Amino acid sequence: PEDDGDYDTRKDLPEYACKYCGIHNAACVVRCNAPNCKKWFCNSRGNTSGSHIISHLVRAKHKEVSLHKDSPLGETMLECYNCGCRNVFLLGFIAAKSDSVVVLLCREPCLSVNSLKDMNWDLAQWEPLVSDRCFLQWLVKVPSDQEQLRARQISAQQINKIEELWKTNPEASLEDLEKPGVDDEPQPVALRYEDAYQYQNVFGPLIKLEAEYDKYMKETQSKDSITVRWDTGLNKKRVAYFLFPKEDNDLRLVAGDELRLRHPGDSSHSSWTSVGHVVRLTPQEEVALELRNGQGAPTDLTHGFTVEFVWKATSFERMQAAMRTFAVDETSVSSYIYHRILGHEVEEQQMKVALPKRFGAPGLPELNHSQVQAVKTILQQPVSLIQGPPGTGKTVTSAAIVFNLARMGQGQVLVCAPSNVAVDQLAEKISATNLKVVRLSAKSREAILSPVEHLTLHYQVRHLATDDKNELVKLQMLKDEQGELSSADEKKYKALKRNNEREILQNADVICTTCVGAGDPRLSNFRFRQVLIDESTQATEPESLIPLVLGAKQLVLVGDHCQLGPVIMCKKAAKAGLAQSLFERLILLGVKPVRLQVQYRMHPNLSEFPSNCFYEGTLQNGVTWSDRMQTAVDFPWPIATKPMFFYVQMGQEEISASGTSYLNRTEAANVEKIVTTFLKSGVNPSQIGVITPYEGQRAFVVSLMARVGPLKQQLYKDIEVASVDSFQGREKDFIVLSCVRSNEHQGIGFLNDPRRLNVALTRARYGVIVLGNPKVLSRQPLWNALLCHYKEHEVLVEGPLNNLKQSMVQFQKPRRVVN
Amino acid sequence: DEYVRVRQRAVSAEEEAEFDKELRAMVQESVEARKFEVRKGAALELAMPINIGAQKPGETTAGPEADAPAGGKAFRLVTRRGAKQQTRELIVPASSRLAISSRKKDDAEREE
Ligand SMILES: [Zn+2]
Ligand SMILES: [Zn+2]
Ligand SMILES: [Zn+2]
Repeated sequence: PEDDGDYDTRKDLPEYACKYCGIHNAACVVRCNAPNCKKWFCNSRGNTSGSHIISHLVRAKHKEVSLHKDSPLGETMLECYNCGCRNVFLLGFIAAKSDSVVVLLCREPCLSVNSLKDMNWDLAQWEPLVSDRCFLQWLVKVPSDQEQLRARQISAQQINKIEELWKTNPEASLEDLEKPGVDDEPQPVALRYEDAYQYQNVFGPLIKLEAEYDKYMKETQSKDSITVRWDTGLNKKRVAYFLFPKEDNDLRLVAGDELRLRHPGDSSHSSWTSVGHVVRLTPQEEVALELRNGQGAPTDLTHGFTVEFVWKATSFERMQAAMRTFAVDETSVSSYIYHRILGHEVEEQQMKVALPKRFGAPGLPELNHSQVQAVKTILQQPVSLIQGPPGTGKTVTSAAIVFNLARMGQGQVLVCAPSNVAVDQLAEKISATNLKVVRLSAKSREAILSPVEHLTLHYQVRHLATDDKNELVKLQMLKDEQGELSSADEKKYKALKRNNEREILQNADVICTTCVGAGDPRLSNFRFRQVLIDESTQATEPESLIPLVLGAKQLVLVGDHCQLGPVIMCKKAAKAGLAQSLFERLILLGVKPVRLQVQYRMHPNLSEFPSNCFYEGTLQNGVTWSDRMQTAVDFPWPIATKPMFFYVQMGQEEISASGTSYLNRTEAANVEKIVTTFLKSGVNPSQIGVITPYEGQRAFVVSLMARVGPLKQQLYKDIEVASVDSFQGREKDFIVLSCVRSNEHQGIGFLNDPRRLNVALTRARYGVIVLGNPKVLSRQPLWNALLCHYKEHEVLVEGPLNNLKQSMVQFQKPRRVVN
Repeated sequence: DEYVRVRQRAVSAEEEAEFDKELRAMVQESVEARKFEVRKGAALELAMPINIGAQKPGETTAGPEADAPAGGKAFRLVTRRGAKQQTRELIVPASSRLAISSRKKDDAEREE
């Protein structure tokens, strides 16, 4: 079956790695030869007073060692030349009085026996093996400073603990020391980490928690009594359409998700089940599921189906693998990036680059001053952050950076983002500069129509002109028609495909994929010195690490920490800090982001509040009032020149039918009236977005528009009604925001997060209408500021839509809200 | 290929003193144990290794010479497993006690 079939991408340390710190340089390690021990240790001191091998021997009371077979002396047991004593605390070198010959001799008795004194040996110059708490450095090398800094930073206390543990369990590892008990709270994320092992010890358990939660959610989220509509796709595969009801806390279905569809059978049908991929979601959230094997599907049945999620561990496994690689493979990232990520104090570094004369790129719009500044700065830094507030041309700037990076001759550039949508957008822009771009998609997403289809690897494989192309095309067609190939043909098909894929990937200037996609086995032998991650503020740290550990020396993180962060389902993991992106932590560590400052999206009236509130007033307008005047649209704005208002709503919130969400009927009714007014004045449905944080309200607004909307049904169907989160990264001409919550005593839920408010307010180009209860909202400081802003502009209004009047409603004093 | 400077941590004096004590105890113990155990069996006459005169230091094949630090001195380390004797090249830095004493000997021989 078509599967992402991961090879084991885990990297492990060799057996001879120092059991304390992981250093695995053959010249620097020795093996403890005590029976039941046989562990390897290095001759570095790290953060302890004795070298690791000496610390071990002293703590464990072991005394015998041998050298590594690849060390300069080869595999050698250290023992007294005369009596065979192997106690390294007694051994030392002596030289013969001539011939430059040396041997190891023990201190007691061989050295102290008087009868030896007059021999050929210079006994007075006995040089002990162990001196200054480490082995003679010319016998067992001390690892370089670089090696030592890159190794696990084990402390004396940890050494004592692990030595204690080894007494009862010789196989125990340092990870076992850190393992939390079953009911323990997970260790929270830190600002700085001693080493990559500690980093892994913190993030590993958090990823595990999130994976377990995700698995639990998916496995318990099966829905019964689903009604199916059958169709056949262009590729002749069976597609089942159905509505998949969801609640506030449910996972959002996205294209590429794997679902299992079953029917229990009836008098004339036997039971049936098939797995498929979601290939599309309609605006009404109808799911199109392409079945992997549609043969025998009961297409004459429509009712009584069950839908289940198929959980996949791939993304979590790749995060864990990336953290492990980061720890044990010193070539995974440059030293600079390694220490930067761990929060060590590193001296600033500049890349030695010849800057181009122009920083723009062919096929892209001319860059503005702050964009040029951003590109220029970034090209010279090994680690940089670009903050792109809404509408500031983040994607164009990123594409220009990638264009310039690709021209520096450092090899292929890897471009990633956490979401497929963002990767597609960026791939398209980069491709406009004429660079050779390959968009690598997960195999489970190959059936999903992509706006950059022609850039995808699977498309290029099918359309590549090579000698064995005909063969591959023939087999592909056969496979498409029959659903499967004979095992010989399948083998041939796979080999041909793999070769073609490798060739196309190797010829690319830029490879674009999701962060998780960077862990695809098809990239495992590639190295990328330059990596750009867009939307990096929406990725967890371990997710960002996946593209990094393919050899990064120069890293560009693009994002905006004032907008929504990564979605973490497991509250425990979120509370421990998994929702904090690497971008944010780097800011806390003092990396200054370059901020793009000119926004080209919002009417200047709409950008004023977000600029002041979230960006210290630095956001400049690249569009003017006249650019954003829709004179043709006849809408009753309370102040004709200001396309915004806060529509005071006093209707009650109620709990939705499912019992897990909220809705607000008055607000919904007014949303419908506003939408109808827009539509009547000639606004296209695709220009309008309705944002509401609650699933209950979303469903209610959709059904209300369908029931009472006086215009053609299709118009309402084409209006997107969705959560704040699903609007992130996108824009609409007009945004209607329905806040829903209206109670005196409880909180305002989702609206409490300033970053969510920022996203909601910055989606619109031409106009924004907020519906909510000021009495309730004003208690939250940020909402209070927003309400005052609307009031000052005389656009805090109430009354019927065709006769809006300024509202005199009293605000409450804001109080500090503890999240 | 790159040089990165990173802040380093210090070891506490307390920990250092404690470790020193344990290390000294370990050496002391080893010495004491041998003192009473000796003089039975082991030949106490240290014989000059045989059959190694033919090879000059620097000509042995064991051990890469590239690692020889500037100013280092090459010795031949003789080891034995039972009756079998092996020679390996050992590069010793000029500042080591071995190298210094050997240099003194060379000088003394020249003066004679
Ligand atoms: Zn041991
Ligand atoms: Zn070590
Ligand atoms: Zn001896």
